[in-house]
Amino acid sequence: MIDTGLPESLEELARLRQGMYRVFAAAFLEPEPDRIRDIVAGTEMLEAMGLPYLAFYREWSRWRDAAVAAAGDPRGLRVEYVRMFATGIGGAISPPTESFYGADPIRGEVGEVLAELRAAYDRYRLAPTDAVADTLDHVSIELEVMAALCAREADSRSAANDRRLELTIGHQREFLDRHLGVWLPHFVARMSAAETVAFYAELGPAVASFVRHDAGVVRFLERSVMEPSR
Amino acid sequence: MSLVVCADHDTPIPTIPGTEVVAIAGLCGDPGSLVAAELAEVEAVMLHAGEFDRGFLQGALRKRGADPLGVPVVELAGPATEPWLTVAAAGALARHRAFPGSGPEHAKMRWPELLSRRRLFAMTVPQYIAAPAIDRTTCAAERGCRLCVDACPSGALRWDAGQVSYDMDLCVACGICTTTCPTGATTNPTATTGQVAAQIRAIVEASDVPVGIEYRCRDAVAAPPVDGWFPVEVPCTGMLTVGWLLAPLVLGAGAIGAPSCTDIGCELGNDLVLKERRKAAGAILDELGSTAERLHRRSRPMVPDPLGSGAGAFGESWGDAEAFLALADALSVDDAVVEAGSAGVVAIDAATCTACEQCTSVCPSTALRSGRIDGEIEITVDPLLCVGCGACVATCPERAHGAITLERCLDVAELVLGRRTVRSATTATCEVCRGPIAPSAMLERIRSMLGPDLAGTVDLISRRCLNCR
Ligand code: SF4
Ligand code: SF4
Repeated sequence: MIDTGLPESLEELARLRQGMYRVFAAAFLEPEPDRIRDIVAGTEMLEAMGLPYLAFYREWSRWRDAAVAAAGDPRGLRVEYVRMFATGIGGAISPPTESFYGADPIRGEVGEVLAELRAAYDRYRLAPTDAVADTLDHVSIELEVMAALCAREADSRSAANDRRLELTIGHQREFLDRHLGVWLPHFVARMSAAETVAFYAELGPAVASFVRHDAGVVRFLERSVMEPSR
Repeated sequence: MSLVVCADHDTPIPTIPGTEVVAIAGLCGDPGSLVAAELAEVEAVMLHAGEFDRGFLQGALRKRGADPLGVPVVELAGPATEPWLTVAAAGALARHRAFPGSGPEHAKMRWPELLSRRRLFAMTVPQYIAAPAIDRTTCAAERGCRLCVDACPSGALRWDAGQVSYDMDLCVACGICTTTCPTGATTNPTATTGQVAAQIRAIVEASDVPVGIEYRCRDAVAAPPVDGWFPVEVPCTGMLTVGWLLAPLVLGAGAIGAPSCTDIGCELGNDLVLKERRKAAGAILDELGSTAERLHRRSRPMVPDPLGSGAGAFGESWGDAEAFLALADALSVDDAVVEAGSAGVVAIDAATCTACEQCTSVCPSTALRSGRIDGEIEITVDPLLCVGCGACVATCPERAHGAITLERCLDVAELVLGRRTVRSATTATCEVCRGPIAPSAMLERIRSMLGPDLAGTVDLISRRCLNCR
């Protein structure tokens, strides 16, 4: 049997997905040198978990190479981060927040998007810690939410808690269908239209490709928990 | 650029000019050896059926930076001669070279049937197949087209308020939508007409003897090689329209095979669709004076000589009418009519048509078009593009008076005429601003409907536009 490094159980698969979401979440935070080093270490660890056998590998590997290269120049990355995502400096090119894509600020729907998210996080029993400086609809927060739901799925599987497992997978599906999976493609399209350094240019397609793939995985997981014989 | 062959079972190594051919022993059991091998870009692979795992192979190709969906796999289900391998390899390489590239939107993961709730099938490696994607800029759904939705056997497509939505989870990636779409908006990047044409042409060119092309379903169990016959993989043989079934003959093959992947009945009914279309294609061949004997379910040893060449006029869409006309050309037939295929001849009756242009606004294939020439409305039709969907007739407000009719048939005489004007109509102009009011025929129709009592009103609306009244 060839060792692919791929997860051997659905619990391990959930851990792999958690790791992917976490690495991508970190990539959308300010590129501190330590953070970039952690990201590179994270990509190496994930890479060994059978990523070449998953369809998003092409986009992922391009971004991983860009991350390794960027680790040598974190300063340049910080300038670009501010230019790409931060509001107020020459206008944000690609605002990394759901409300920008899913709301009309003039009609005041930004609040509606945030309220919906707050309600969703309450339902999922997730609350941001004090360390969270971004708004609840920031892409890295939404990616972290998915990471947390994957971690909960893994825990439920290891504890054989079927009720919690079903609920958690339902939450993952809901969150991708109503939030992250809906606006991320628009955000990434905007990122792709902007001229930027390789780290951010490759990050968009990588995260979009992974999230699209994961939506298919979640659908499958949902079907499998609903079939009692399995 | 290279072709990689598993050297097990004493497999002969084909010779392809201009392509590096690399034989690797044990490749089927360990596709990972592809990663370490010193090779140029991998374009196609030849492996032994039932001895390799597609997921492993896809992972190895990805590690090499290749797009696994674009690398054809020739499956050998028995001993093959060197000439056979050479011809099959030439086809696979040509198919790869015509691959338009795939994106994340095309990758559909295939989950194994059996899965325990906590164990992940001792996780076998996931496999991906190519699913279709819709290009919304060319989709005619907002004109009311829903041909793909109606044809989809799995309910993966939905039409809602002028938009088609697609659910990859429900999709079985059969490709039926791609061959049904009259605008080319729905495509599967691994089975485009461009790729299949390139493969068939390369096979025909590489072979010294007449060839038969056997379309093979992606999921069918590979059959042992038969001399003179070459497999061409499609997502599902149910996607083969009459145009697709006839295309190999147009491209120079002598015979076609189009088996269903199952003998016990496809649960989606795609085998029945194929059966109907095979019958229609056979009727066309008979009508054109060739023989339906060129069209088999499975490959037969004897392959007749190819027909004359009609491929020159054969384009990218492989519509039923296009294939019919190309075959008629190849067989020098200029007068034949056959009631088969998705095609039609539209006629407009100038006496009852009001030139409202509703028909042209709903035609998904743009077979019917309208334009303005010197202020006159010109409605034109190109029977080559007509898919016989009947949307024009269903929409015409004057259909009860016979303003538009559709005859579902293929007619060489009509097809050779190409696009032509089927209705010219004058437009009444406003006596004040000189702008257009409405087609004169429509105003006449209103006059006849309202009768003499309201003649004054009709006179007014016939002379002045809405703004100047
Ligand atoms: S490929 Fe087949 S199942 Fe999928 S959307 Fe098209 S017709 Fe439906
Ligand atoms: S058949 Fe083609 S043009 Fe018509 S709705 Fe479907 S994708 Fe759009």
